[in-house]
Amino acid sequence: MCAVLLILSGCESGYDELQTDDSGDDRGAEVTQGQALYQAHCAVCHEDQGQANLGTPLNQFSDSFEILVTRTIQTMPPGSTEDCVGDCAEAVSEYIFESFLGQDIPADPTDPDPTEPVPTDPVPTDPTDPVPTDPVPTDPTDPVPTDPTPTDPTGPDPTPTDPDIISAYYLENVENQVVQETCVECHSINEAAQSSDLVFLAGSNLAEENQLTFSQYFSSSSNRQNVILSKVRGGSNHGGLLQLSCDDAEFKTLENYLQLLAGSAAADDTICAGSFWDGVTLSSSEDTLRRAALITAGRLPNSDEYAQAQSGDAGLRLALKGLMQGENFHDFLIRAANDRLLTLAVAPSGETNFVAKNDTFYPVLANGNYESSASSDPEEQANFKRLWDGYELGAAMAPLELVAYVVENERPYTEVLTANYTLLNPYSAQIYNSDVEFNDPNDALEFKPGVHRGQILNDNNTVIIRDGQPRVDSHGGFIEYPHAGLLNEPSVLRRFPSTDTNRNRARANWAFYEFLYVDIEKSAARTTDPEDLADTDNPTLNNPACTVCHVVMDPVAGAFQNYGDTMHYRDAKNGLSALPTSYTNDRESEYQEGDIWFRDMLAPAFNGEITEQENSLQVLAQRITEDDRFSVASVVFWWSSIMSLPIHEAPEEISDASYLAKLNAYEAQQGDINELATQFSQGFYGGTVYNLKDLLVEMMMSSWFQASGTSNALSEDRELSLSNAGVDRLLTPESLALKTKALLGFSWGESTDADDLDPYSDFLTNKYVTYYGGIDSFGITERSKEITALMSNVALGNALQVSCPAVVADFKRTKDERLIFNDMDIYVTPVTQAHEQIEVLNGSAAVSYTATLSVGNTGENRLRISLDNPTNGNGGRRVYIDSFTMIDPSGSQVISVQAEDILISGGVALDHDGGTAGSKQGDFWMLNSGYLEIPVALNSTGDYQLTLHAYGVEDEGIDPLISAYINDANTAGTVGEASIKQQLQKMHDLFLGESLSTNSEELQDSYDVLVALWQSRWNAGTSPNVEASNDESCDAPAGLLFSTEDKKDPQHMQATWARMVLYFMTDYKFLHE
Amino acid sequence: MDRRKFLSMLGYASASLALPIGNMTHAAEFVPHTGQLFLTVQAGGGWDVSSFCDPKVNTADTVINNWAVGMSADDLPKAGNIPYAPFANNAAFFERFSKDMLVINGVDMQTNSHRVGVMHAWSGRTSVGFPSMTALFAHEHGPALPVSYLNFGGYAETAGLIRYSRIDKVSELRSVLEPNINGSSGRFYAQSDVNLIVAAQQARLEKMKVSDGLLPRQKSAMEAYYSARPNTVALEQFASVIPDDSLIENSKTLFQAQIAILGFKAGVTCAADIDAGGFDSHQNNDNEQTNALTNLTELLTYIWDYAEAQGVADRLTIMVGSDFARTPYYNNSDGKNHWPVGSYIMMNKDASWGNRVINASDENQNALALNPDTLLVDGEEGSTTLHPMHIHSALRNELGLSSSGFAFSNSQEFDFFNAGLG
Repeated sequence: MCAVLLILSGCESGYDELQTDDSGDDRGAEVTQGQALYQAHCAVCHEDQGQANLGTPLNQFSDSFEILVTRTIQTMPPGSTEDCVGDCAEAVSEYIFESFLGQDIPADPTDPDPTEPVPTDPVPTDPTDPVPTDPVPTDPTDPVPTDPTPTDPTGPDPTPTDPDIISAYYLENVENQVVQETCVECHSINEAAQSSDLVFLAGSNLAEENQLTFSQYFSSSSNRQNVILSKVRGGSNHGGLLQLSCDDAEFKTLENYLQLLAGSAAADDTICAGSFWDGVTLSSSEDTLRRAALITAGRLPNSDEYAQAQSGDAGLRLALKGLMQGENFHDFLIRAANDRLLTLAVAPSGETNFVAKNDTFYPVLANGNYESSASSDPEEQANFKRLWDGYELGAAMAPLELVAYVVENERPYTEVLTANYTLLNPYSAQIYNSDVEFNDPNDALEFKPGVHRGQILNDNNTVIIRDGQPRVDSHGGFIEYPHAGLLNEPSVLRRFPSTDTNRNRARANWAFYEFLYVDIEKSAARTTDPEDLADTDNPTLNNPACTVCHVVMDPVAGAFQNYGDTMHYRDAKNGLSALPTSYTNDRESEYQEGDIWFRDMLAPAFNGEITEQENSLQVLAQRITEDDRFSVASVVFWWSSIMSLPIHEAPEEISDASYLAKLNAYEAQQGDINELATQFSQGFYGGTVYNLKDLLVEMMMSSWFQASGTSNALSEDRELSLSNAGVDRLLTPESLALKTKALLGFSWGESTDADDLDPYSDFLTNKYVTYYGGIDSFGITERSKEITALMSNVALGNALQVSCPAVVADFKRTKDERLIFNDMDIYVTPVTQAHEQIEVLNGSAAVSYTATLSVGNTGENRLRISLDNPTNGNGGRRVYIDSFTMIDPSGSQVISVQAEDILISGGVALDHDGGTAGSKQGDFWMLNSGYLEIPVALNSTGDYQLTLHAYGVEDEGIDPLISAYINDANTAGTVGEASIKQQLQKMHDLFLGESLSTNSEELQDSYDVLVALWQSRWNAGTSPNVEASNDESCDAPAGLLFSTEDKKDPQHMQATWARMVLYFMTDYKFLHE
Repeated sequence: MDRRKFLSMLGYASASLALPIGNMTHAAEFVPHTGQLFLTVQAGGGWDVSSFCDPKVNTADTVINNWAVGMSADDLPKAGNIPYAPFANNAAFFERFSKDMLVINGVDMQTNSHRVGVMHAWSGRTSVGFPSMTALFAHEHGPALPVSYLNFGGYAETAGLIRYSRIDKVSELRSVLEPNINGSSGRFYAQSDVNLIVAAQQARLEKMKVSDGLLPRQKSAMEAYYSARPNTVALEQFASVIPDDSLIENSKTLFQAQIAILGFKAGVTCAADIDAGGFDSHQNNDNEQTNALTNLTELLTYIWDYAEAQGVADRLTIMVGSDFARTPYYNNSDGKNHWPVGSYIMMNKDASWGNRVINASDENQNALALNPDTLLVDGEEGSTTLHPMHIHSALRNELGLSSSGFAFSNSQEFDFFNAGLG
């Protein structure tokens, strides 16, 4: 059955006889009195049996008795509602209920038992009398008085608290501080919760009635204590979301009151779980800055920024805000805005169409198409195609660019709705007849503010020739598009279209959620009554089960009245409205000529009627930004972009095991969001109001962002409550691409094509974006929050394909210019004790070269002389070695070898394929690949002098390079180990944000991995090249060329480092920040 | 000279280093899933069951369906025991599959809201917090499978039980499944190197996972990555069943089904949601529903044919449903708006419980109460209007799923899968 909104139409006064009557619960007497009152004052309109010739019939409705009393008090008699409250209203209502509906009035559980004596200490009836001070606690947050009656859990009846105590407590602590201050805003007649089971009276001196309402609601179910306390915290489907938090004094007051009502049956005080952040530790300022930089700026901080961040909270704030500039920050804003607005779905590369190329509402577009179609000139056709595509891209990005423009220029964020301009690129500027000038008329990504004057109306002035492709032959003036920020951006309207029957309601819903943080469907109890759901009598206007939402939604839908199902302004045939023909041509509809909105819907309104017709959305935009909820919605809008997880939804089922844990999280988060919102609207720390950069900074200063661990074990409930907090967010594909580029200098698969509208692309943000958890803005609109097997393979693919080129490219740079290996020498291996490189000049006669090898360890070692840059084939680069000697720090000779005798001197000449390296040629050993090596016992540390007598033969203009090593037998305790660990330490910091000590277990583990990878090549006779087989590929990224020399890898360390970059890039901490 | 011998002779340490890591034993241990399989086909937008499996002719007062003008209820065609609407391509579908399907009509979805309807249809309740049937199935039947739960954009609440995967372009799929393959024959790195690295990382992550003081988000993320990694063999197995591009379906919906079935075949997937939209026919209902229902029946036919061809049809159960249904009358735009009373269809090859229709709606498509003891609309005491939780509860039992932590509030159980009832 449908509930009925009652409007009692009482006519005159004369209710005094019951106003001061304090006659208790004599129902029969009340009905008699009620009859007298009714006949005297109500029947003139509502008639003897309630059938009503004026006003609402009273002989058929479904509201509860309490609601009827409430409505009587609040509406009757018209013009002097104070004349019939209290007992008068109850008496009249009882008469109506019992006489017209034949229903018994439910017993008032708070009424005293008539068989019991009247309490000897009644609550004073005069509200000006002081209330009893004992035993009611004077501090409302104090615990309630201990019930002296022991609780017997097996006993059938709870012991009630003295009603006088309850009433006094309510009057002193609850009525004004809680009910009037908070509840009646929705839970009263004509407000959002008027159809709920709890409807109070708004106003003063209504404590008695409201307490009765409260106590009756409390008694109507056994679990009300927890339900009420849950609802005020935003749980249990509370349409008003969070109103009171556990930490609020008013919450404790309410809790006390409910415990009084429950008496000895009161539930334990367990619904609140203590401070939400108890035991949670926060990340350091450096770590916070690093994460923030990667998220918002797509790079790592520099040393100055780190220093600033370490100077305290104020410094950290400055450093965080300092990140918010440049191209990457712009892209962050675009991505974050698109995650909510999803308009990139209508870009040329998107999943759905934006505009037809022959759309005659836009003459520049349609006529361009006509001419292009008629032309046989490929260039003209291509130009039009670019115009069309460029316009679609410009339009799709316009709302996102508007957001970025407002934020980057630190304009008040309210302007995202109130801007009377849009952002144009060179192509949309053409279609919209804008005179904006661009630096590059072919740059589709250059956006500037301007206005839209490109649409015409489909009115009598418009003549369209349909000869092949349509052409606009003549038309009236271009409309001055009434920009209302994001609200009427054409791509937004296109992305959130309407239908003839939806009538902009989806757009209203969207606007409520995105800009007021109101989920209309959750704002009121959802009807499940099949009759309501199947109601056919315009239920959105007539059925209270439906109007409860539609009364909120439909007036805002009306504010969108000038926009049709797609995106055009007043697209109906006459150009006077956007009403669909299914309505205007329907003979049974209420449509009248000149209407611009449906007559069977509520008129446009939001916080008051919107009478402006041409620009109703501008009025709506202004009013939304003046509403307190706008700032809350703004925090919610940006939350996920910073925290990566959406905000907590309020739990709905109180019986769920996880309910309280989720409620705690929800409450804590809402509290913080509300606090951020308040400061956002007032200006953070005395700053400008609605400064979004400041809001983002404060979000990153919050515990939600900075939480990094716990100092104690968490209970199961705490695990649930804290599930959305803190570090280790999975990087988005875009962030991973930027991080890769920041560290390596290029992204996976990056390419630039100047002919493309968006010239730059890379694999993570394009080809694999949805595979790595990104969105397509259409079918997939939520980012993945945790990695899957497929996603981990994408991350692996990224690392597999960029790590080797990154290492080769980096070693090509001079040490000062390197990104990763500034202090690393490519020839240093885990067994290296000392190394020096010698360039052996091209010639035909041996000369002496010397090198100093600094040795830190003594013992059995080997001297290796290796050709670093061999070439293949006969006649390649080679060196002719006559002899070599080495003397120790004291001047004693420890090695003296004639090279041609190397093999008989206990040494080897070994190529990388296991064969002999080079050959004996007369008095020389010719080395064109591989190395010579000979054992050497080192008895002292210090500088050893190596003298090499040799000459070289160049190839391709490059002389041979010889490396001289002293190698240890082991990989531990070597100079190489120390050097490599230092490099690994740096990489842990760069790639993973880990600060490790030189003797840490983690560093040793990484070193062990490196050694294993290196030895697998060193010991296996792998060709000294980063591409040693078909199983290895190391292609240069776009913009770089690798020569054959670049890929040479005489000590296998380029290949090993490449694998270590792979190791770091697929580490958990690289993919999560 | 043999290089290894030489190195040994020279005194270099052995190549085998005492790394604290295994050698990707997880990969070698991949066991393809050979058990039950589950698919939902989500007819998004609100299907018109009065033109499908709960056929309605017109009443004296109302044109419910244009196709039914001049027809009486007796004129409705039947396939086996299942009446259907003579609309779209229904005949071919019902005639072929009636023996494999159980139709449950008159299910009150209790909402006209898409968001709530979708949640209700696939999680079984109107409140947030419960997993989809698919997530629950994947969690219990294949929690360790690398692509256990495939979702293509439809409802996919997991309630933290499992993670779903998405696949959208086959051209990239092969390289995602085999990231180390470079071209037709080569690799980027020797697989042994990659295995060594992944094993080392797993060892490192194992240590990190048991660190003190982790936040729940860290634990969850670490566990997700840890369980995602050792799947090289499994994913290569998946890649091996992907056919040439020329054999990949162009239709977005059929592509979803094809990939899901190939995942089933490879043993890497056990559950999937197929997102079949296009049912929200507020305008031109008959045209839009014709298209959407035709696509739906083609999709279901394709699924069974392809599943049969890939050898997985015998293990497959399909649940077909929608947000809700459409009004038993047309609006001014020849469309139909939202209507809460809809249907579900369960399918299984040669189902013992097939060829049956359980419950009904009245001539105006209002839900009727069903007797849980007899599965008949007999007006007996205890008869109850069906809600999605009843269907979910019964299907959970049929599929052997636990309701632990996610129990419904239903006081009655309906054993729809008992062929002896109804």
